[in-house]
Amino acid sequence: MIELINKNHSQNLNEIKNFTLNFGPQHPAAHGVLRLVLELKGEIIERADPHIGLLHRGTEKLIEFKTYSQALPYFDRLDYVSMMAQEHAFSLVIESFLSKKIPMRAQYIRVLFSEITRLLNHLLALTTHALDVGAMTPFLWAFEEREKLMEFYERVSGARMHANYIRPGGVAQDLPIGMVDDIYKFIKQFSSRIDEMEELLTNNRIWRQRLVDIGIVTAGEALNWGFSGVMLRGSGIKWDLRKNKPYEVYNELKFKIPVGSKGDCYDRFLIRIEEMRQSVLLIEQCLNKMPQIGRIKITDFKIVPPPRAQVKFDMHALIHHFKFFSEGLSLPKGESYVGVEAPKGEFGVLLVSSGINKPYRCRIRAPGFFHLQGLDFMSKNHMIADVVTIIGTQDIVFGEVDR
Amino acid sequence: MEKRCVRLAIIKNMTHFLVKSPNLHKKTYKIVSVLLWRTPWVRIYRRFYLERLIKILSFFILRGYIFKQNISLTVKKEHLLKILFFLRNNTICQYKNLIDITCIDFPERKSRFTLVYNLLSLKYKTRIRINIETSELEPVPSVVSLYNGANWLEREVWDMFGVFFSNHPDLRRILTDYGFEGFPLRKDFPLMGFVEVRYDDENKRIVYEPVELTQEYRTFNFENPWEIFSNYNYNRVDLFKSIFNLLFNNSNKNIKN
Repeated sequence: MIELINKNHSQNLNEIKNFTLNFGPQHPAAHGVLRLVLELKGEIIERADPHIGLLHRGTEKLIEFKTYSQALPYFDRLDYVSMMAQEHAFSLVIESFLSKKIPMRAQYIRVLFSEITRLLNHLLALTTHALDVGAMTPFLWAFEEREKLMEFYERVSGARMHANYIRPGGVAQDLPIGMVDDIYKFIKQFSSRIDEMEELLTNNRIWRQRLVDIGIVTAGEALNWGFSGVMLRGSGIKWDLRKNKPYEVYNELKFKIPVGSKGDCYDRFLIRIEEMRQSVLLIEQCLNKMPQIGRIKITDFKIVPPPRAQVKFDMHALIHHFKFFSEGLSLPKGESYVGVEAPKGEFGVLLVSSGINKPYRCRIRAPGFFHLQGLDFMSKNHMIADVVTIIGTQDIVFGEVDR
Repeated sequence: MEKRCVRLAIIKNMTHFLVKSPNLHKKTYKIVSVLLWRTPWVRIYRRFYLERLIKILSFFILRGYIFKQNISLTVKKEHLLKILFFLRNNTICQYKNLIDITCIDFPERKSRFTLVYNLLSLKYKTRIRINIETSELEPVPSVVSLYNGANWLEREVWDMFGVFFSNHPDLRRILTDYGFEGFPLRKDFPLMGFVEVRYDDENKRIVYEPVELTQEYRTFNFENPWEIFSNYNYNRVDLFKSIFNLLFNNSNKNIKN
């Protein structure tokens, strides 16, 4: 018996087992609550198994019990760094049921804030990525800019983050006086802020050593794994819903889509930088082209609530107001899918309506879910430290991955 | 209904159409040639291609409909892999990107789940949805062999609805807690769930307990008793009929641009 045990023991000594490492859920580089089970061979990653769902709040289930206007704020809370892009998707899918065209000014305001949201998101994505890799300064600088952008959010909707501003049928309220000038002042100084960030990172030796040739995704892989947004463009596929399936007024605006050549983390970093510059251009065009006066909502009071002042003296407006906030709007039977180019990729909503005031099923297609799924093949044969780089480049936010 | 536009041939990246004049009194015809991959062509192409697609797949399609630019085809479950393979690889389809797999629960139906495969073709800028119907007991073939991205999506559908996928490489729960029981997105699963979690200070660990609410969950039903969309006819449009309309009412208009 003892011999047997010894024999087994000596066998085990010769056998080299892979080491399993738990990364997260409380690791600061895990961008939230990601539990990553890494199988290591030495310091090289054999397999990465992300365990998600630690932030699962059952948004899709909750939405089934809410009216459409009550369901809208849930979309802010999905990807909590690109709030309005998601409200936009939900508003568009509702409008696709009603075949309503919203007024021009509202469309411009929506595009304006979508691009502000893109700046917000990319500022966070790039600089937290840099922070994970070891560069602290860009993070501190960018958060000052983010603060200014969130101030615009606050001025227009009253909330710094969870704005609930883009609503079915238009936007919640018109831009306050002086807002357009302030946004203009902001974008005038913002391009030099991007330059400052580039000075710190783009040709930085450490930054390049950590990013170049890390996490290469080929075009075929990117398609096959369902990637979208920057992750797809980084691999050289020129696909942007703003350009290829334009919604709102994107087809009237001039902008370019940056595309990567190699598909590594450094390419995606450069694309995000360039996208910010394009967003600045888009914001400027929006400010110039936006109709100075105009409605910001459609006038169908079955879909949008009537203005408060009108409720005070018009009985019909009062009835509509009451019905809108108690019953809500109803959609005809059917199902519809609309995707928008959120900063992280294609954010889509598949809405199934049974003809009543609540959605029968609301499926949220989050881009981050697909990107995180690709972490396994992207980090294979890389070092542990590169996992952090890859999580950073994927721009994971757990609000939308877990839903 | 009169046919206004006939496709003649595709020769070297150009497509030639024979178009009848919109003026009915003059019987003039002209040949319009469109470059194959130009945007207007894609628009026209879409009409034809849908027709062609349905002709090719007609054996497999149970029903289908178009609802505001959404093309949705319901197919038999046995043919799912074949159809997705065709849509992915055929030159006229090229649905290389799997956008989404999701499930819709209709508890009153015999096969209660509708699985929705949402595909995107980057080349032709089109989306299509393939639906199949299944029940709790029938497994669905996994499409991971075609689209790697389907892996987590199918895990999520299994987690949320309890639809089993055969030949899936790693069918575990994904979003719910370790050791969770039940399928939360089914219509018969209550919104509040069954268990709640709290930290027990005496045992120094997290404990699971049945949900106790101090107040019953209140649902407010403000639904309108009247028919809301009486003046609309939103019934599912017969696919062939609508394609016929698309082809022969709009084709002339499209060729002009």
